[in-house]
Amino acid sequence: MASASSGRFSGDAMAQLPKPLSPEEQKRRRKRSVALALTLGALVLFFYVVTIAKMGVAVLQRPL
Amino acid sequence: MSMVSNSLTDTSTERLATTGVSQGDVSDFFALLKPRVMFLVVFTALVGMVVVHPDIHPVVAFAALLMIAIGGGASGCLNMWWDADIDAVMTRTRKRPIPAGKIQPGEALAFGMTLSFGSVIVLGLVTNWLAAGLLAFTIFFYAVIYSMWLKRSTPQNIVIGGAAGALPPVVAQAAVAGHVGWESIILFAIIFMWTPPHFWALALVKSGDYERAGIPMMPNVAGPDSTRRQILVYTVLLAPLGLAPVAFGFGGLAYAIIGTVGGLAMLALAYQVYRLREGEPAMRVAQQLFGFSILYLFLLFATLLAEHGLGFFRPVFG
Repeated sequence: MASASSGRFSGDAMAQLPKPLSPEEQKRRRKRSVALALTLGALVLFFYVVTIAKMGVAVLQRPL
Repeated sequence: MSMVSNSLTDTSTERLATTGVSQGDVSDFFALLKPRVMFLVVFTALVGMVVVHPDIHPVVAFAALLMIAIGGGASGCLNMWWDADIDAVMTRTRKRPIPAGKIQPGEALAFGMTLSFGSVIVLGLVTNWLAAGLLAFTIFFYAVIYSMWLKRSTPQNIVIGGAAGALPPVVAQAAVAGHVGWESIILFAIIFMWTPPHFWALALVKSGDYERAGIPMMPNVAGPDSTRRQILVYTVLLAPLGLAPVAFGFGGLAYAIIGTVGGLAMLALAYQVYRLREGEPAMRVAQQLFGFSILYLFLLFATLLAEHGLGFFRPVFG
């Protein structure tokens, strides 16, 4: 068993833990996140516009 | 207990060692979609739409075009995922995101698969399932039949694989008209016949690259002379085929002129490639044929677009 001081990982395993992100990596991750958010937003808008276009003006001609 | 603990630790460390933080920028993911090929896909698909003058809402037509573009990009992404090993040894492709180490292969695979399924499903929901099926077939043909099978096994790789690049007008017509008509089949045939002279001209120039990567391109397998002869044969077939839209009534006067002049220029260049076989002039003329073939196809499709999309159509017969 690993000792309590080293937690779940042995010394070698600790050495392979991910390093903290560098500023450049953080910047790229942020850009990817923003791009993903914009894509999802665009997708919502896209589905809305296409749905309205496919329903056509006839959707308004209904008994109230 | 100790064995179980060690096993868990090993698994965890292996996972940590192979699951790093993505190094890719947004532009790297965009590059995975092969933007230039995607432009060609959009362009030829747009022509496939306008030549049939569809009675369809412009927003739906735009949505269909977007899904065809994304599907084309997805197939390019899957191609880059599969071909990362050979891309790394070719000068033309070694700066692509995967061999450059900017994007992990697994990321590219996930990105390509997501876009593939997404584009096919949305195209089916927005237009019809014939178009969606054809788009799925196009992606499958390019990623599996061409990339995984033909590319590394036969010098006819780009001849048969060219079908994938020729399908976008067919998908587009199916999307807006609900069926596959003569117009898109003729456009398919033109792109299909154009592909061998286009790629083999490049392969003549870059034969060293392909040889290093172990890809059996025609110049490396059958030799440069046989390739030159086949380029000429395909161009002889392509030049009259390029005028088929005129014969079928959807190519007008402008198209007839551009198609004739462009076809003759392609023939002249292909003949020069056939004739000049040694040294720098041979390489130069092959490079010229490669460059002009892009312009030729662009002009053919741009003329159809202008004739049908902008109202410049003047019939040749009657």
